Amino acid sequence: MTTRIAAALAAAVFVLAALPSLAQGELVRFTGQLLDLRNGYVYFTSGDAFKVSPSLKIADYDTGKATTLQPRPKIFARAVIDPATKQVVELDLTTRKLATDAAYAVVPNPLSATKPTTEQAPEIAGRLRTGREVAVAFVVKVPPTTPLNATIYISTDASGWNPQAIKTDRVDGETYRAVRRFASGTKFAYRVTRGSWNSVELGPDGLQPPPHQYETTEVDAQSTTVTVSAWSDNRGNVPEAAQPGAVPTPFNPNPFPPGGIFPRPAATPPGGFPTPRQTPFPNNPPH
Amino acid sequence: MTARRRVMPSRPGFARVALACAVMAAAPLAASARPTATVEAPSVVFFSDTLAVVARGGAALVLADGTRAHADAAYVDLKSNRVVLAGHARITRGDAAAGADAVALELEGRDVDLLDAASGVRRTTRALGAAAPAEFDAQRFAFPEVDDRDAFIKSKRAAITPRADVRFTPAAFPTSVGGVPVPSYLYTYSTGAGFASNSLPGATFDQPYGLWGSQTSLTALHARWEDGPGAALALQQQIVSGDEAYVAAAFDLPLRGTSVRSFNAYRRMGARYTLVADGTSTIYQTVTHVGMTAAFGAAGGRVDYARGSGGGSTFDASLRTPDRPLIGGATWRLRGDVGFDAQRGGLISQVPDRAHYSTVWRHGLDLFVASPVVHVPFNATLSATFDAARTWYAFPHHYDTLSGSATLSRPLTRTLTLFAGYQALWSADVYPNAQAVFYPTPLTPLLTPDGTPYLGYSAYTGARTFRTQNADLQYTPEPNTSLRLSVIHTGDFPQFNGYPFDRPAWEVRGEARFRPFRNVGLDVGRAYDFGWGGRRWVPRWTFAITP
Repeated sequence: MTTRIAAALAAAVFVLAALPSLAQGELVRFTGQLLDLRNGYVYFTSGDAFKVSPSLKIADYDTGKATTLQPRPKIFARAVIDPATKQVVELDLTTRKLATDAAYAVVPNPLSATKPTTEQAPEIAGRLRTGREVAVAFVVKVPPTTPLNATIYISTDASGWNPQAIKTDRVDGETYRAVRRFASGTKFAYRVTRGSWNSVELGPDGLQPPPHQYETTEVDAQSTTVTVSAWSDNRGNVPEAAQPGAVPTPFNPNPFPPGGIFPRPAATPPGGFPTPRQTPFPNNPPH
Repeated sequence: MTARRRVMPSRPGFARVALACAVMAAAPLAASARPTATVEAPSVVFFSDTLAVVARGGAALVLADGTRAHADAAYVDLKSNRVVLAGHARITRGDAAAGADAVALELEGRDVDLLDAASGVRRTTRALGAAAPAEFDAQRFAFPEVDDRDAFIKSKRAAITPRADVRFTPAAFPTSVGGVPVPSYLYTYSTGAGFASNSLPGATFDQPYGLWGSQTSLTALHARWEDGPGAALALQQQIVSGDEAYVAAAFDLPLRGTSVRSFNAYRRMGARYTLVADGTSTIYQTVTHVGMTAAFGAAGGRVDYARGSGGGSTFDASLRTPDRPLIGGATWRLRGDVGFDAQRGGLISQVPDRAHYSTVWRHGLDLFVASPVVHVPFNATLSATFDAARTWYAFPHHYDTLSGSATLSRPLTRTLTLFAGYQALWSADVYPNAQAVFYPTPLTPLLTPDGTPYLGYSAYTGARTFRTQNADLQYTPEPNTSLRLSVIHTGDFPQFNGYPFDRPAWEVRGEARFRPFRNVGLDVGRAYDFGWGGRRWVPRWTFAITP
């Protein structure tokens, strides 16, 4: 009898330990792109599906209030799951792109061992670098103050901080992207510029952040995303107040300040820049 | 770009360059740090992406403490300062010596590992005392398989200063198109962000050539091509303290233009404040500027003061709110500023008593609203911005601007994307009851600097409009190749259709970016300005080599 009880207890402990839901807590939130809501289940493009509660609440993702959006393909959603029934009780919808994510309830287990029983794979721990070629995508999210025809570059310390080291291609109104191939183990620091060090990225606090650190790991393809909050040459999205000299008047014959006029010419004019005529006005630059 | 007159540099100009070179070379901060290790071999190759130096054909290593070693081949990992000597390796220091099939050591460490294929690993120190058996660590002896044809630099000798730079003597650049072999080349790999600082004026081409360096400083000669003056030589000294502070000072001497002396300094003070200072000096005038930026969470403030040798100065203090949510993902931000403009002898030349207006205070407000990127019909995305600002002056005068922009993008296929943009800016320079004083109607046609009469100016009384419409088609068949066709139309008021008062009314650009060689990318562009400068069209080329 004692043997049977011990065996049953051991089996119960084994089952409890093996169950992933118990090991990492109950799933309480799941975010992703919707595929369908059908036959009492909500399906995501990631392949995950959850049973829907009969009293499902559909709300706006940002405000939590009622929404006119309907659950349909291409809509992004956050499913709120009741851990007790394991059913989706709330579906928060948005047209904004959301990254696939899952949140689990905290498992209160103060007596469990804290030492991990697993070890990171060598390629994740960063010990193995074979030098294989890896395609790396740099995705840059730019602020709304970015000029219409701006070109975005990535400057690296490996290029001697050349402000135009890696040119990116525009993807949409706020996203630029560049793909380069690096040997695994390649490591460098980088910053985002608009082609010169007068227009370099700023952080959300308006200060210059430290350079981003990058390392190519031992994978097939890699992606790294940078969000630029502001540009160092942006002082309010409007040109400096044009003084009366911005266009020449008889009262101001020297409308060519050293900093140039707004807007700057698109290109060097044909035949080069004109040589200002010598005039008798005293504020002409000395020869 | 500012018009720069083309005058030959004077003999004193050259003398000043020579003097600056001598002073910079003599300055202790510019002095080169002593290399910790030198590697010599018939073939020394360097890979800039992995910071690996590989020596073959009989490599000799000399360390600063007198340790010498030689082997069939050697590998130095500059990222970790690790050295591996492979094949008939022998290491000596004074009278002590040891031999092995492979030797592993650190440039700045004390352990030396000796690997014998038959007996395993023994560990000793740089003093080469008695060696004790040790555990075999494959990574410590890892020697990468690299193809020398892909090397960035080929050389015969590398002098390494850990965490700072490596000097190759001589240096050839087999994978860089146009890379001319040089007797000596300093490659800096110090990661201090301050090495990104640059106090030189803008240039369409800039090739630095390191002269001396250390972990905290770099003296470099720059071969440049500047828009306007053309070819130029420049000397720049950088002094860096990690990511926290830097100073860069430069002397720029165009071969057919006037010299520019400039400096640029930055200091981060704690998590909230940064201090900047910069200055530029030409034969016309000297302008210096100091500024401080403060961050309070996502809000912030800024104070700037600039002064010129011509007696002018400006001061500006501004505060801005963080980006706050509006509706539907849109955000708004408000910025307020106060400051003054000053000019010795009077700021406003249009009034008879200009001396009373030597300092004019002003204050302003700026509201900026930005939409998120939203999905619109036809599988397109749209984003828009709006800005309104007014500046009030301490006499009857205010300046208003309103601007808006919208960007639409639509992927046509997986590799083809269409972009369209619209930007409009309206400004009004208003002098109540005195508009005609500041913007009088010319009695005779205004002549531009090149002598062309500018008749349209008569209609201009202080209000201006700038409008830009552009459409771009971008084809990206693979990551290293892209083709872009752009059509840009501008509609401004007043519009002169010629430099320097206006922009071309129509511009068409074609741009191709591709990578013909592994380490070299090319950007080739062709653009046409239509109906500008009195000509039917004006073609021009743009060309850039990218790393």
